[in-house]
Amino acid sequence: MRGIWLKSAGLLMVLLLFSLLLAGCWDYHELETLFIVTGVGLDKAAEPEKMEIILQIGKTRSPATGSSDSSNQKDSIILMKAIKDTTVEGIMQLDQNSSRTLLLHHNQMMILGRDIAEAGVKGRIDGFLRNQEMRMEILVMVADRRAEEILSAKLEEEQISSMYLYGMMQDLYNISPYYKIRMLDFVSRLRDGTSSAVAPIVKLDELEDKKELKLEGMAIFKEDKMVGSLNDQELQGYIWTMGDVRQSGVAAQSDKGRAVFHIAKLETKREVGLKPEGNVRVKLSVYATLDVAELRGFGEMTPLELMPYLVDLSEKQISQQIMAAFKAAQELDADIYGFGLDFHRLHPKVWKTIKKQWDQLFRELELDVEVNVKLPATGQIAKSLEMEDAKP
Amino acid sequence: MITVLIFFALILLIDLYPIVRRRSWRGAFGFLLLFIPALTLAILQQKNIEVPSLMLALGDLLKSWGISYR
Amino acid sequence: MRIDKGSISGMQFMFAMACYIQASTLLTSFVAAVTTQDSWLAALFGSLVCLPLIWLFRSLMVMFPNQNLLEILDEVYGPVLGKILGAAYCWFFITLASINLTDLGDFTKLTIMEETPNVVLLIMCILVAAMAVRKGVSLVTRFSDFFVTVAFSILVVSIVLVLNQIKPANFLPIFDQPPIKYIQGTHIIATIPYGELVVFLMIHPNAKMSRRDTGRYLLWAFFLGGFTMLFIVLRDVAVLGNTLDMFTIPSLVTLRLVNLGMALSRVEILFVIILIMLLFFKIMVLYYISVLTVAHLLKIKKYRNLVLALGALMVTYGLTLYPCPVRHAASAQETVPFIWSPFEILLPLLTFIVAKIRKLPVRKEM
Repeated sequence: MRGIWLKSAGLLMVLLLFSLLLAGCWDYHELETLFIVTGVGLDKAAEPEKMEIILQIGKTRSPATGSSDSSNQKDSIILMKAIKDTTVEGIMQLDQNSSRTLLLHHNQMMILGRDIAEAGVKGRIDGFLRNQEMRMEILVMVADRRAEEILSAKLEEEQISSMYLYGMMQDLYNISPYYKIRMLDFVSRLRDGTSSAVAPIVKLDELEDKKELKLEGMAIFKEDKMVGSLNDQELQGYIWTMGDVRQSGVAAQSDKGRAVFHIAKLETKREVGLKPEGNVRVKLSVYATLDVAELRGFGEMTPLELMPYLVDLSEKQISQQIMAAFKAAQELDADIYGFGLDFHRLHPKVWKTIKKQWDQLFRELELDVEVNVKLPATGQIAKSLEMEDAKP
Repeated sequence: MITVLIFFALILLIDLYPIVRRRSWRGAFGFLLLFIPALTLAILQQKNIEVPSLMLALGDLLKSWGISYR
Repeated sequence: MRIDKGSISGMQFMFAMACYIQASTLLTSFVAAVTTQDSWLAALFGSLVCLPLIWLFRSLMVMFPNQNLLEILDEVYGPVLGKILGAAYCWFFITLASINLTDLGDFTKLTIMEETPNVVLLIMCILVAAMAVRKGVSLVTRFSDFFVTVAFSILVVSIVLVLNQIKPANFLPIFDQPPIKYIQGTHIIATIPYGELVVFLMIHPNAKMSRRDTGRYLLWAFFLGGFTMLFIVLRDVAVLGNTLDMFTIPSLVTLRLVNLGMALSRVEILFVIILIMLLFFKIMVLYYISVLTVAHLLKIKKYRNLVLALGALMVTYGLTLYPCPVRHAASAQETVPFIWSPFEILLPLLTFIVAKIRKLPVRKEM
């Protein structure tokens, strides 16, 4: 009898203790007390060591007020800005000075202002890697001018510009995975030692009545500093060099006419080797399956003559664009392809002896491009209107 | 501090009481062997007195004998 | 003297061991920092090196089917030396339990509850585990088959979900590091998950299995656990590549990268909960075995009343062990394999040899 009484008393005390503990829940976050950060931008500040940290916060809208009237369009985002030495200091300051807690779990991207990219990023992104709230899958981009204007842009299509960019990169990812640079990819390249990191450049176009964000080539980093960029044509060449392309097109011009091809599949194989005289040679074989998407001109050719001609034309075009990208990279001494990494992976022993002089070797690297195009389909029509024998 | 003491008092109540009732002195000895170090460590930690880490001390000992990677 | 008279089936015993190894796979980061992209080789070598070790444990279990580790030590080395070694093992088990407990605290803190004080997490875990431990061996191991199944399904699902991010080139170059690194990696794998199976020598008398089955169950447990570990390391290397050694918990980063469109991303919380569950199982087993060892050493018949006191000791002792995860990782990489080796490899081997020489166990006449 006494035992039962004692036990229930003990149980009661345990329960009381629990209520004491459970009432003070530490990690609670309520939706209405949160600011959900959708994008983080870094810009250089006026003082040399400091930077501007810009947070884009997507406002949570309740369905009742989320109707299509344009009155609430202008305040679908909040932009917060702090000037501090490090990202985390900036975020902490913003967190203290705002009515709600900042939630970084849903951050989509890090946008580097051009100035800060050119000044070097290694010391700037530690907070992004260390903080448990940050993810390695956030996108890394370079703003053509300043990150702030990208994050503050209000677009027609999507009110939160970072969501727009995320969607855009997802589309490009379907064309080739090499368009989409996640934090993981970026850091992996930075850590690698010889490879150069790349990151897509976003540009804000201010038209008369609206603003537009678009992809404008790719920034090339040497060590951790942005040293130059690829333009659109070169970017395409770079993407083709990396292979694994599933969509997109090739446009080629010759004196006979203009042809546009649709890429069904483009794959590459590369062999990195050391030549006897000591420089590195890369043999790049491109295997592409194309469709004819549109033709203009080529009037004097018969379909039979045309197909080999088109194959030849597209091969030349692909090869030329690949070489253009390669020349651009070579001029910057930036191994954006990871040829050095290939070499390291395939010939680890030799690599140890040449690692130090890789910059020199890359400058003198020979790239042999061999393009094999298959052109199995001509689209819905076999003959074009301009062809000689198409006329009755 | 008070929460810690309540916790330990609860343990005493739940476990030591039946042991004593059974007059199992061996059991009481075993219980106290575990309970007293635990209580001491808990109080030391509450007072923010740093307790040296046994694992790190052992590691340093092995290192001084040269048994360690690196 | 059998303190806990409960018994479990051989299958239960096997699943408990498999689950124990699987729970340790969270700790592959120790190896990842040493051998980077070749960590899967370390995992493979570690497993191969441990095959003889498993055979050694099996032999001890078969030779002494009704005696646990402490009784074996008593019989082989005599009561005095046996007791001293038993006390050493007692320290080993409690330390192991405390380390895993703090691991759980750190992991939970890192993943879901950042602001909750460590000690609260530990106490919650210990209280739940204490309830099971008080009920004895059958409850401690009851859910192991469920945990193993869940861990396996999670492994398969996670591999499928990151298939689109796997880069086979990440495995190259192979054997690019100095040989000592491979030895170190193998040693870590051998001592940190596999060697710890020595704890099961404490409960094998409770498992009902025949001589023949003992070996079979041990091997199955080893394969189940070993495959999980190998595939986890392979997956992490394939996804993370040269950044593998940068992270404190590579597996977690890999799982956080899961992204199949907007719908199936950011689901890592599910994985985290399951990892915590596995780690909890491991702590529960170690907790139970520590209690049993203390009781056995002091010849206390009613071990139940020691449970909470030992739990309190585990929490407070655990908090003193490592001031921060960085020191923990460094110590796990550099010295812990050497500290654990005597308990996990040398002493069982020595015991086996001495027992053979002294022609133990003497068959008792019926």
